[in-house]
Amino acid sequence: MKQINRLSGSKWIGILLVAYVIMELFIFLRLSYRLRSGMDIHRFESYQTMSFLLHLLLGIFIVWLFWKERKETIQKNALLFDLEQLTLRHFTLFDNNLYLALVVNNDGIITETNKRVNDVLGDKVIGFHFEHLLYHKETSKSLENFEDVLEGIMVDSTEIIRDKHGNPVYLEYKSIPIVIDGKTNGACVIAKDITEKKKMEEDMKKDLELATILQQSVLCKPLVTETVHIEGQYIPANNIGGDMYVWYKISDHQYGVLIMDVMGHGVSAALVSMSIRALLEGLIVRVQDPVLVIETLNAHMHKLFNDHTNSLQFFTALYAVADTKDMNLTYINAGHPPGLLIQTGKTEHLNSNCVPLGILEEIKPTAEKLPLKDSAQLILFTDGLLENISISAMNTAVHQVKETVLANSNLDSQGVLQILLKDTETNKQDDISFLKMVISK
Amino acid sequence: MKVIKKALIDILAINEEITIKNNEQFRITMGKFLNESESNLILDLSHVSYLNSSGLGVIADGAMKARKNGKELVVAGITPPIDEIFEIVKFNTFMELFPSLDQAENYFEQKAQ
Repeated sequence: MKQINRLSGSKWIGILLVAYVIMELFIFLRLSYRLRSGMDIHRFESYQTMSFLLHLLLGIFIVWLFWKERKETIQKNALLFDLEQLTLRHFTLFDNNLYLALVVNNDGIITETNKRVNDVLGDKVIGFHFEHLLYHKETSKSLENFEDVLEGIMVDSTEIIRDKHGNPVYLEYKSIPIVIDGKTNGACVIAKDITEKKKMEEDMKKDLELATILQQSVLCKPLVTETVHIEGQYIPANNIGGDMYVWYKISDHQYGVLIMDVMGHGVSAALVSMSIRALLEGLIVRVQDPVLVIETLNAHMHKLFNDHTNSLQFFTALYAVADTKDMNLTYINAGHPPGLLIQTGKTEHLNSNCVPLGILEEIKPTAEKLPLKDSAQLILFTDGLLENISISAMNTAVHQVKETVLANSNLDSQGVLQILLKDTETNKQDDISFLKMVISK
Repeated sequence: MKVIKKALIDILAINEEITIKNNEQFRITMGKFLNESESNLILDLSHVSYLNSSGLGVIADGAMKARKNGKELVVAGITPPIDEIFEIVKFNTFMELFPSLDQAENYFEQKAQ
């Protein structure tokens, strides 16, 4: 902004007018003296002419000064008007802003507040140090942040303040130093109220925690008999996911085990898996035959989720029935990573022999049968486990699972998983399930 | 993800991994591809090294939808490392899979004869 000239025209005019009056007085006195003491007429005439010229010049000069003064006044008024307008605009913005906005001085005392601040904090704000607003002074970073602001640094941070009713208000704020002539002269603080957002986040977190507990609670408890021992582990990627496993005793010599992995993860996958889970006990215990079980699951999945939706939903599954009388294992693997049947001397891979369930309207799966020796271990898992061990080479990961189980056959599923997941970076991107069935006769 | 139009074949070439980040985009692109193509469609995964289960879903769905509309979608580029996942899900039982783009194109050319 242009600095308005201190020594304005009117001061000059005043000085000149005074000088003029003094000069006139002097001339008059001198003239009357000279007239009284006799002055010749020519001299008087030239004296008058000179006086007239002088007056004229002076007159023009005074008019010019007046004109300049007026111009400056008009300019000054125009500048003042603009300044007023600018101030009014900015003040309107400040005062009516939906965010909380306030100004503090270098001592941290609040000097200005906008309407929002007064709505939230009441009227006793101006004149107080901002630390009086803090909800948890001990854990607050704002006092530290303020020191940075005084150095001229703009700071983004969060804070909890106490509103006029004493309730906590969560804020995301920006503290901007006001720098004039290179020196900080207080700061302007603009804050967004994120209390509602935080509350919603807390509510969602609680909901998710409940859902997680629910999902874990429907998992089958370990099944222990004289001949079999079945147990497993489920570690969802984000508290909740689309993996599921079940096992049931079908008869005194038959046991059915099923592991499944719904496409995708999170809440939607969990909903699908819980919905399918409801069918499993009935299918395994009553229908029993692997081909019928798998066909039914496919038909159900295809109809329920794929008649109307835009995107395809499906799940992979491995279903195996162990017969401890006939000593064999019958299985169907629908698009799932291979299961491992570890017996003394050799390991067999239960490879995929069917498409995942839900894609095709109708499928015709065939079950495969493997003989069981006196002692055998069936290991089933989902691809989340393999990806954690080796993101690219599935075969390598499967091999490592096999070797770890072989080297630790006395350990349960939890123990084996601990070893397998020990050296991996736990950026669990997929749910991990692991199931171990030990048959010993 | 770009579409190449040839005389009798439309090709959708993917040049990146298909993960949770671009899965939705893949689904939308596939939808557009299915609608705007003639009858012979090739999904070229030659430059894809990873695709997640949702990606597989999009492909299976694509094949089904194509068939429903009298078109055919095949997949090219089934080589390591993604050949493993296609082997497990047995998609070859309901759609054609080819190791290279050339073989996929040959398939349609021979069909036309």
